[in-house]
Amino acid sequence: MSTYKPLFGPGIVDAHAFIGNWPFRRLRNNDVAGVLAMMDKFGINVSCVASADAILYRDSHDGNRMIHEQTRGAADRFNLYATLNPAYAGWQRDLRECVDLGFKALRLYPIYHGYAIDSPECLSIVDAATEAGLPVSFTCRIEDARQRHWMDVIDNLDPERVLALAEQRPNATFILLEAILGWGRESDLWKRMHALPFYVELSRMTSVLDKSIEVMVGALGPERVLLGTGYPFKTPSPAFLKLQCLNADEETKTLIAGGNASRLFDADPV
Amino acid sequence: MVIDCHMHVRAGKDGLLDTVYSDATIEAGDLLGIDLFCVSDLQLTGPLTYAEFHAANERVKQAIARHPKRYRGYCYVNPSDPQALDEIRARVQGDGFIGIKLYNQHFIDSDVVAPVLELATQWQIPVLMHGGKPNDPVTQKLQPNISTALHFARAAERFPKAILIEAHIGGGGDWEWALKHLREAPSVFLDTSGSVIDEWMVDKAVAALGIERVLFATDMTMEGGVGKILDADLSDEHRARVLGGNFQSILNRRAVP
Repeated sequence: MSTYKPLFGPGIVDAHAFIGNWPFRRLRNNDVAGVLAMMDKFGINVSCVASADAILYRDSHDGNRMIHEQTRGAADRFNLYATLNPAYAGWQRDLRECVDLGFKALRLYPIYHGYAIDSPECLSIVDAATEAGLPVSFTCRIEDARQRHWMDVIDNLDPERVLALAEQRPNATFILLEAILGWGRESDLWKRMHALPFYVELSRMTSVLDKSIEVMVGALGPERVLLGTGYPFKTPSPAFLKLQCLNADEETKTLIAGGNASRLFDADPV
Repeated sequence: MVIDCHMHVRAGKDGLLDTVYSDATIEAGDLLGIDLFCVSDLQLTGPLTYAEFHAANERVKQAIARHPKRYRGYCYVNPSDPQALDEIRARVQGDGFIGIKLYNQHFIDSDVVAPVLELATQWQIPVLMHGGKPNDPVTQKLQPNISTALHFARAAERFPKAILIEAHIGGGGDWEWALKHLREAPSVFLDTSGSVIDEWMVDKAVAALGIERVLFATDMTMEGGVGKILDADLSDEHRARVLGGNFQSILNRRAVP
């Protein structure tokens, strides 16, 4: 049985992780110490984390403040996503505070927060984040809808809706998490995505059987794909096995393992 | 030996085995360390006729012939078809298939499935059945007859010596709900496959069912299927049991005349 060995050097960046609680299922190792322990086990230098609590807080910004406080003692190991709801009061000031606190990217949840991805408020916060130099991230889902709690949402976010938003704001940088992009090699959707500053995290795609990650790397180029675990919602080894099994050279794997995320997240906000 | 106890082959455009896919499965097994795939070929929609499940089983036979050391077969049937038992006898006795695969045409505890379970019990071959507790309206509408863990528990009460495997803890909805029922059904096994790779899921399955009732499988989620076992907090001995030892023990019970 294959086991993960850190093949990709010291610069591994997990572009997709969380700290905090989820009301519908108990998570473990979901605090800073737990996530750091996972990172050390897998040789991850930096994790890009969002607040799990912030998703369902009315005032998401409280979740941002929490993870900022919690990660302060290990700030060099974390990049922070700022979770904000542009349909809620005061997000402009909260976004500025996140920028001042060193958050590296914005996280939006249009389905959880009840606004349309092409609504004026969504476009406004995308514009504000872009002006501040922050990439904008979307996650297609938190949990599989088949196991949804009766008070959880039903729908997943459609990646094509995110692509359509990106086309409306071609100067913004987008990060798509938890997406299944099963498009064929010649799909026009890849060409549209390739034309934009658009990054995709790989945790729900595969390097074997249908080889959707290989197709994605071929279509977008190796510099647009990000390693992400989804921890502590998801177990981390699969992401590394996908990278191990990917039919690509070591340079490509090094970019996916961390080079791309380092470039993306280490850019200083304006 | 690492045994994936729930995997599939599929048809190509000509209706025969999709050899590209079945070869890709072996390639994935080589990369991920899976020695043996126990497979079926499902038709996922519409009523399932004898001609359809017979053709599906024929493709499984083709896969075994193509990779005899890497594939074992389940015989897929619609239990309500009058030729279901004949098909099982032919595939298990004649072609060496290791068990029976059931999908969602009927609940596992319904009377129409009982003759299949009787034969499987008599021959001590496993019955791997699609199952789950979907909480989303789409799956609920698509699969009104999906067997939940409660159906499995009831079937196990009726056939306590049957080797029943509820499929894919990670592919059928509320897995925590399933564990609550399966912990009270001591003869039912659970496979770990499915696209859901929730952290803590396998550990909780082992805690609820005991190490001997949890079986490694992918159901086409290859890296996820392997990764969730690697990440489970298990001893090396227990991990080896999940990865193949437990299913080998099931195969060793075979008493087919």
